Amino acid sequence: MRVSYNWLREYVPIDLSPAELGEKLTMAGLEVEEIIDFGASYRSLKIGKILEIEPHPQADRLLLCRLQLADGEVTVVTAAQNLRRGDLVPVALPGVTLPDGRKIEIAEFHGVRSQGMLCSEEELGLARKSTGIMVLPEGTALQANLDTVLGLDDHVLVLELTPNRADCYGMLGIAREVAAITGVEVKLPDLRVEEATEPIEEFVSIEVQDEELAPRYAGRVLLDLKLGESPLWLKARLLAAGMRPINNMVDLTNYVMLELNQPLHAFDLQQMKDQKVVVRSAREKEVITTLDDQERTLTRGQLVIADAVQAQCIAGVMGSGQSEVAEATKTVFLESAYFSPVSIRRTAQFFALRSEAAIRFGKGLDPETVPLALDRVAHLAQKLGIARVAKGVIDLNSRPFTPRKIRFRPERINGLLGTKLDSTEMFEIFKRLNFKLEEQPDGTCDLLPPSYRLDIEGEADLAEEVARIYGYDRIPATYPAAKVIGQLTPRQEFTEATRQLLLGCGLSEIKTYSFHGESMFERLNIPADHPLREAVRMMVPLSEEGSLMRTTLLTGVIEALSYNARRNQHDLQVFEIAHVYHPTTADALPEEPEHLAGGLSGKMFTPAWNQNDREVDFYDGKGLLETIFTALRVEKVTFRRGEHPVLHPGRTAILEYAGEPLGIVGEIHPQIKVEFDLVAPVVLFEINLEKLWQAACKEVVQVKALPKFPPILRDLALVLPEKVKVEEVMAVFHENGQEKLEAVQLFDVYQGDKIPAGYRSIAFSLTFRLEERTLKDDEVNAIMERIIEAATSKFGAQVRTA
Amino acid sequence: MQEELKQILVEGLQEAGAAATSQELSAVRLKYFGKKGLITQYSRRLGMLSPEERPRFGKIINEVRQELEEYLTTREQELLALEEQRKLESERLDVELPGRRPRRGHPHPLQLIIQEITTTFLGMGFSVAEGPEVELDYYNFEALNIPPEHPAREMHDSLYITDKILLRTHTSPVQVRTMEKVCPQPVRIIVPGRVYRRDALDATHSPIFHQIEGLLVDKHITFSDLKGILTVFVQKFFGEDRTVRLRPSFFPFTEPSTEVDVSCGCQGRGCRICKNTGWLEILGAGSVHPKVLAMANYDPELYSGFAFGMGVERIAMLRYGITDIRHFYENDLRFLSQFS
Repeated sequence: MRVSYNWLREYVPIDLSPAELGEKLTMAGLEVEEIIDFGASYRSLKIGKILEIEPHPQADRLLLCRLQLADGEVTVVTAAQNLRRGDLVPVALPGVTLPDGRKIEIAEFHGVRSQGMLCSEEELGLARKSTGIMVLPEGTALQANLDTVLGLDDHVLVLELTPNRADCYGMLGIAREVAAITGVEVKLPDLRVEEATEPIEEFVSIEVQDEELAPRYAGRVLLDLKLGESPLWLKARLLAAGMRPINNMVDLTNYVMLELNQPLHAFDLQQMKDQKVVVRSAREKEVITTLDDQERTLTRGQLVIADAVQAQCIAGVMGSGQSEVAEATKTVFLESAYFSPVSIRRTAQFFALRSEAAIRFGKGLDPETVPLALDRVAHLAQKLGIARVAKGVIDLNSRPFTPRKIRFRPERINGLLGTKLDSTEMFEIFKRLNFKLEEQPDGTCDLLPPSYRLDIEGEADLAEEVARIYGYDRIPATYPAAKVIGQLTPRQEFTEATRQLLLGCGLSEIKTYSFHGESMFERLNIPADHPLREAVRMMVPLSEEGSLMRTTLLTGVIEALSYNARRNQHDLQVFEIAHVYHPTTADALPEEPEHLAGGLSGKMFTPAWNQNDREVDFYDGKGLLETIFTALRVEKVTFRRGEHPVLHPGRTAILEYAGEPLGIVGEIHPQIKVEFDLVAPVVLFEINLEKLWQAACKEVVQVKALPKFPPILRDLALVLPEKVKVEEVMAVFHENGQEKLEAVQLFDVYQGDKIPAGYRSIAFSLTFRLEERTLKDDEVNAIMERIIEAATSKFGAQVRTA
Repeated sequence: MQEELKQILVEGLQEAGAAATSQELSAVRLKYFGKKGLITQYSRRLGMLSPEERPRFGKIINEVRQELEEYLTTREQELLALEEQRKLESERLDVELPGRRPRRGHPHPLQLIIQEITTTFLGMGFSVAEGPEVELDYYNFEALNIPPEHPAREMHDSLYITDKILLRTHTSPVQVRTMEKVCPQPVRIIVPGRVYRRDALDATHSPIFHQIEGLLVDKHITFSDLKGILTVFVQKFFGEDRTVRLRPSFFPFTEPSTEVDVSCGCQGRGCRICKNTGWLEILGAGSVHPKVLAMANYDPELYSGFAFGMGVERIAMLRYGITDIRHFYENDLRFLSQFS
């Protein structure tokens, strides 16, 4: 909403500067986004007096004008024929930007340099079309500012209105707000009409067929229309409001719309078949050619204004060219109505027509303004001598307005706001806002909001009105003490701990989109029937890339690695903690477990002159998870050989806890690597955090006593067939060592030419210790013998000697 | 013999003085005091002397022995100290070369903001509530007093899964879910989380972004309490020198509603960030609408409360001087590594 400062002051004669006014409006809830110095673009133009007009020596149709400016003389080339010596004209000198955005430069016309340009009304944005240069009133001083001369020395406050304040889309609405804020009285617009003797019924009959969509429909008839240009002051108002002047009739309806927030439509009555106005729902496939020359097909339920035969206007949205007011128009039917806001919004959206009228109708207007707007147009039409006004108004109101009644409980309002205002102070605020107070027989009071405040529904709204006008800044700040301790749940702390551990282990946190497209599944080689493809899909996606909710976080991790790899950043370690989405039944919400996923890429360590520069492999991923699990007190997770479409089939482990899958870790599949432009080795992992949390030990740690006796250490290297699992070997150690074997550590794995193919050498370090006494060498030797014996018979192991 | 011994002493002292290392010094010691050492030999010869001569020569030998030994000890200490010093010198490193650094993880800026805000509100007795991102239309709109004809409910503004299910457009549905769950207990929560809008991606819009929602419901909660809590938060987060400004606004689920502005770091001088207004809009808030309370089974005559919400991306952009929202989701290492 663009508010002209000058115009506003006609209703509320305030002393505030535009900036001060803007501040007050903002603090009352009408946010001023910008204040435009509207006269600025006119002020840069000069006023010139024509001293001499000569024909151009080389061009027949051009003239040379010598002009007296306030500070010198210039010669300008023009094609205009309407000028005479002594005329005062607007001059744009080189370097100046015209109101329409055009920049003036020195130009040469057939060998004569023009030191500027004389401006027409069209070029100044004051008329749609003009034939000659604008001539300013006689006696205008050369020193005067053009914006002042034209009445355009104005400021425009650009308001960002909230949807509840539909009433503020009119100047009067803003004026009422200003009045309430400042205490200045509002001067209402003049509505007096001197009607002619011919009654309106002689010219038009109105029939409202759909009262649901048009609860109130009213009209006046204007006679003997003299169509023409609007006076300058009217044009200036429209321009300031951001509308282009068209002709006096249309300009007047627009003016009153801007003033009273009531859109009006003017029909050429002669074009309305049988001089009938029928307000009805459109017929299926009914066609109308709208003002913008578009043929539009209507559907049932869309409201139209028709004559006896066909639709002449899409109600509240746009009229038709046929019944538009034109040169030949003599009799005008002027419409003012209250249409169903929802219906107008739907129709406007259906045709993608966001006209000023449709916007206003769609927000909901004051039904009581409907007849007033007709009177206001009639008054102005008479005042400007545009038309006579037929006698009477037709006003079909099927839903007479009854004001809402809201209990007025000052103590309750204080209770909601935390203020201590007395009831008179509060009532003073409501009086300024034009609320009425009504005492009830039981001694209580009701407040009745004015008809234009459709947003006031209950006590909370009353509280806001008091707060707004009293001033949010004057409400005290208090601190409600907490009766509970603010803390994260253990489950939330678990996620936070996970995050901090990963950061501490050198992984950076990433955030990626929760959705992707079907094509991502293709790129990841995920088979058609794979569970990962069972996704939550959008009805109307934003785009292909946003068509479904992810079922794995690996997509985001791979994309992040890929994004960096394409920028030549190959050494990075990242993780994301976020939700994935699994559909359940059709009507139920999906499951959204929290997952952790990550990727290690390129060099394991930060590259440096003295750093090991090896690249990551499977065991870095696995080791990272093992560390994290230990820190999170998750024990007994097993890693089993497994498969996943995006991972290397031979280098993938599935994580299990108590037989339940927990997640996955592995090196990226070489094909996926190529698909995503990855160059360096990549290890990926993904864990279901909900399940990990379930697996975590929650009891408080109970400390074990430190050993009092020394350990005995033994190393053992076994050559074993490849397929023997380390886990099984370890089991044999523990079976034989029992409580004497404290720990086993695997410290070397070797395969190569020193041992037969199909075998590997695995070296363990065994720690023997007893809690209650020092172990003897002989005891340990005996155990070692048994272990070797068992490993030999069970796995065909051989002890490897150095 | 006396002369000889004196000569030996002079030479011994000289040799010990000339020894450059403790090893050389050991050789000198061996030469004089070893089994066949020069002085050892004299000691042995002592037995061959007459009893009269013995004490005198014994004394001389002892004197020589003592003097040389003392000197050798002193000299040895000197040399050991010198050698220790040389060793340390030889072990010198160029400490100006870069160190061997463990890899360091970088936190995501959005997470930093979420964490800081969460910590502040935990300190004020709030807990963290969570709720589904794929949400029922009822919780996202209806229960928040957003009527069926509200523009936000149109297909072109929100991402629908079915007619009744959509991606939540704000974190506010968690307000309702929490109230339903704990009613009639008081509520004091914040809700950080992802939200979704049908916005094309550009420098200032993203179809996914993060919000932090807050809700406090109890008996006797007032609009002035909202002002108090948010002032504490804003000054904690942006700095004690900042001022807070509340101005009326509109949200369907709060009444009265307010926008919360914080004074700009330019201190009113006017800058690009605040568009020369001196104020930064950071929060939307208001008293919980009585209809919303009633729908969640709280009696609005007894209970009242306030809610607030803020965009995490916007706050992160203001705090870190980020001008393009896309940076948050590209995860460029060069961007992430600026945070710690």
